[in-house]
Amino acid sequence: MPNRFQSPGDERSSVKGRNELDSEILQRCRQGDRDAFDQLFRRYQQSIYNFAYRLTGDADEASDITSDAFLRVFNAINTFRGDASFTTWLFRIVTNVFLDEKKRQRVRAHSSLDEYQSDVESGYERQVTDPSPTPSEIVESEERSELIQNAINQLPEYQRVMVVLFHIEGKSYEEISHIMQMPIGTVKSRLNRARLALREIMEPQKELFLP
Amino acid sequence: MKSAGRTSKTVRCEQAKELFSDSVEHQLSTPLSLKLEQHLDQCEGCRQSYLTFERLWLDLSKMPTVAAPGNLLARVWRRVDEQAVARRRSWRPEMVWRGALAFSAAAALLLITMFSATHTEHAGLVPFAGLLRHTRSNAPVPNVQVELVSNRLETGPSGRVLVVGLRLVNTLVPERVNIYVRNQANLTMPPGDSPVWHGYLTSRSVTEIPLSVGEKAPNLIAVYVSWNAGGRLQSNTFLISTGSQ
Ligand SMILES: [Zn+2]
Repeated sequence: MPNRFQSPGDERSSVKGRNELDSEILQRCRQGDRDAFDQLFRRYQQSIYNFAYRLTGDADEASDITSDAFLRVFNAINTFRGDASFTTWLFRIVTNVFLDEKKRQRVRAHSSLDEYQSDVESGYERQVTDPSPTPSEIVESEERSELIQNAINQLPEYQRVMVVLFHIEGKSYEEISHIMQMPIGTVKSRLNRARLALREIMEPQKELFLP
Repeated sequence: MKSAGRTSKTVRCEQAKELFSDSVEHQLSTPLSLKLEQHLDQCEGCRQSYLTFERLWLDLSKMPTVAAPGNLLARVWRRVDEQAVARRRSWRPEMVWRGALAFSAAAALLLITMFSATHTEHAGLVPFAGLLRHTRSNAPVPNVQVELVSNRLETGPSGRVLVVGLRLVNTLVPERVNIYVRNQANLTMPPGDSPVWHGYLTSRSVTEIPLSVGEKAPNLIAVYVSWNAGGRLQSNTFLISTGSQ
């Protein structure tokens, strides 16, 4: 089998726990200490923002999701009992914020489509723009990570979350199973499907991905 | 015959793809690994797919980290404060003041000055509804107040003890406070002495705090409670008459 690189799976266990929040800060957060929350937010803002950015591919949306998620953390810190690790709990919150937001956007998109149709019926015409870049735009960008980000954006939301958690955030199957609250076997099989789907999406640009 | 052959090849291709992830992660048993290798040797489509799959896996792990914007934390605190203001308004409709968010900086500053001054109370909530702004985000800060719920004078082993029952108002979040005691009404900020008590108060329950007031309690005791909300020093002073001669 061609294996030109090491599986990242091996490194994951050593990474686990490295970034855990110490219990003193957590305790102070539970008591409502704003300085402690400030420390907590500072510690996690970069990784949460990056996670949100990779889920959405959009800086504004990533900022919204991050601040929404931290607001939820602020409100719900007393419900964190330490059954899971703090990062697992935090990533679960961000994932839920993202999925909730997408649900809301779908409802909104639906109602604006209704508006569009009623506009057409009443004689107004509006151009519906397709947000996905044209193939020529994609080739012009020549940025692999941008191409990959565009492909990630086209995945269904649950697959997107899994791909970003595993491949970009470096979470293990076990951590993802805790974050998404599903069995490890389900995570593995869905991730495999997600990777194949991502590869399919990338297929038109495959020459950029072959050595 | 031809179509049957194609069907079986398609099935084999799909089975092969199911093994891609495990193969990249070295999780395939030897027989399955051989089976996949055989298929990839015969099937150019799957061989190309496997190479791009493997390459994609590698590229995903190299995606650059996107830097968080500098104003992110200020935004979070603004959201927290806005939420607190909204909650406070929904609790106490009589305290809703319209257009408060549109206050000019000068007006806000005036209110902060008023607020930083101590309020003299015998008991209860200072009837003041001002608007503070967070020092970092300039977001509104809820008008947190300390309420004196109870007070009684007791005799302890080392003299008289004034037990005050304090509770927060207008916030769901516990607040760390400092308490200073004066023998008489003192409307200025306490000098750099250390507090006689510090700790957290909440709005959920009354915290009883014993304050040592000396051998013979003075007639009038000023209890000065200060805390920091949104980076602003806030305070309440309670004047308590002990009834001593
Ligand atoms: Zn094949």
